[in-house]
Amino acid sequence: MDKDTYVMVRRESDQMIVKMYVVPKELPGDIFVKVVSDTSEKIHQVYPMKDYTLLIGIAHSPIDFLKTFPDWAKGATTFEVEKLTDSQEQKYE
Amino acid sequence: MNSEEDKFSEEYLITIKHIVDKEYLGTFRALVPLITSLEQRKEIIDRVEGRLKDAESIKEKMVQRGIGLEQLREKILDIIGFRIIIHFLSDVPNIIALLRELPGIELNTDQQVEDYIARPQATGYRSLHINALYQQAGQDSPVPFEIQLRTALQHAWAAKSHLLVYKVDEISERWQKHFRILSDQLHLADEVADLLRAELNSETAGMV
Repeated sequence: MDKDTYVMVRRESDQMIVKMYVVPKELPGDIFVKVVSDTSEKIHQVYPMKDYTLLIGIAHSPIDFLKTFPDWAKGATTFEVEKLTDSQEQKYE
Repeated sequence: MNSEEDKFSEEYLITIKHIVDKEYLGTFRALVPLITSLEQRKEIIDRVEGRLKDAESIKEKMVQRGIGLEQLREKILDIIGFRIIIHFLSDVPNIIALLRELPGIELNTDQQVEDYIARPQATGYRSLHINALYQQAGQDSPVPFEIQLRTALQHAWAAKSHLLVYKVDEISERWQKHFRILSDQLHLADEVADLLRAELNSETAGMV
């Protein structure tokens, strides 16, 4: 799998992407599900579900992700990217 | 929206998210390497993209179509979606053949196909939407997903028109016509490219 999986956080009030997370591509399938599912819940503790939407998608880079899903990213051009840490990965091994 | 409705709405979203996490996330992950493996066919495929529909979009679609949670799995078929961008319009049958060869994937190209290439939308939107099923080992039943096929020019049109109108709630008929004209011109370019390729191929074959 060449491409990274990204989790993007969109603020509904102005449709801007406020944060982007990169999911380590080496995660085995079942751990991937657990990491992404748990991380989504943690993201929603900071960014409440009623105000922020999450999109999970694949792309070569964050910019590529925005170009790939213009209908979702609503023209956003700036955002902060964070890689999910190894500790999150190891936690489920 | 009052606080009671707000609470209901959030609980509804959480339920949808749990269904997506439990039933679709693993399948999405399993499908990514399979579908993106097609990118190796650089001569016919420009790129492959994929996304998992977000809970809010799923909820909006359910509300628009009057779909209840119990019908989610059978009525919302694009929770997992892939988009295959191709160079040439005439390669659509080749892509369908490649998809049919992928293990565990069953295409439904006879029914429920939304062929917006043959029948573009009023706005000029062109793309072929195929409903498919993926049976993962160890799963009780196959999971539905959608594959969209479009040319690079059709994708460019979709991106451009989206950037122009994403802040507009409703597009007037006049603007729809303008977008349709732009789409038709790009479609003509796609058709000319196909003719050129066919001619070049026949010339090259004649030289051998």
